[in-house]
Amino acid sequence: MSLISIFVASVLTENIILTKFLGICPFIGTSKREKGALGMGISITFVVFISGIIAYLLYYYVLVPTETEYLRTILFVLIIAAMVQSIELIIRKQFPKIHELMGIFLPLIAANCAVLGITFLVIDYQYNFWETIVFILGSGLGFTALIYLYATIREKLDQRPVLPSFQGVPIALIIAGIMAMIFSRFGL
Amino acid sequence: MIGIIIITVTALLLSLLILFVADRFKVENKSDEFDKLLPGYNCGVCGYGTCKGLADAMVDDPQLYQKCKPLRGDALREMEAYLRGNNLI
Repeated sequence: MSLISIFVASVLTENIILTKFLGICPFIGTSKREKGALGMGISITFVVFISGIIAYLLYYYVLVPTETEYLRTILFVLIIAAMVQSIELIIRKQFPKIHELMGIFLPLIAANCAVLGITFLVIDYQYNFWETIVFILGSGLGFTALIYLYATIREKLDQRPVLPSFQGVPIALIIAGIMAMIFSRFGL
Repeated sequence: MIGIIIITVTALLLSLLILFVADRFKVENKSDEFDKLLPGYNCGVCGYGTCKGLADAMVDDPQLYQKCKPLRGDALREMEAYLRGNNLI
């Protein structure tokens, strides 16, 4: 598969949120405001880029030669947790506003299934190094674009009359479902 | 056995990385520094109830140290020297 088709597939047709249903928690939780959504998307892209490359190198150059592939889950979790911790410290120092905006969701990237899912998918699809980088960047970009798009819709939605029983998260989930249906058409 | 070694070495390297980042990007908390230089009587003359309250308020406006009446003599000079040293007054 060429690099371009991997990139387009990971951004649109095989979007990590809408077709694999990973990372729903930050998708709903941080999409109330555009700025927070963009910050969340960028920090997830950054975390998944660094931890994905480290996980890939560790898997193929340490775990495969020593035949300890069964360690990959615990090792990948370890790498992601360390990366999230480092990035949280950096953001708290350099961008206090973004740190305030994202609040609890920033450390929760460590428990975000999208990040772990992407590092696993890279191994399961048996990509080589450059395909891995393109896939990781595409997935991160797809996540950022989608969460930003979703946040703009939700901000508009705040000014519209919604039935009381649908206000807040229920109507947001319905919109996510409609978006998933639209994105699934890209693949056909 | 080899699994234990791999996990241990990786965890050690990652912990060193976090330690380095935490040291490099430390958020210096001015409030704690002010609190150390204040008398610590918690008399409430300044209007903030406790010395910690005044120290927190001084983060936004360092001039508030003048509201502290028990801060006199050497302690006052020390506080002013600290504030001047950090270009706060």
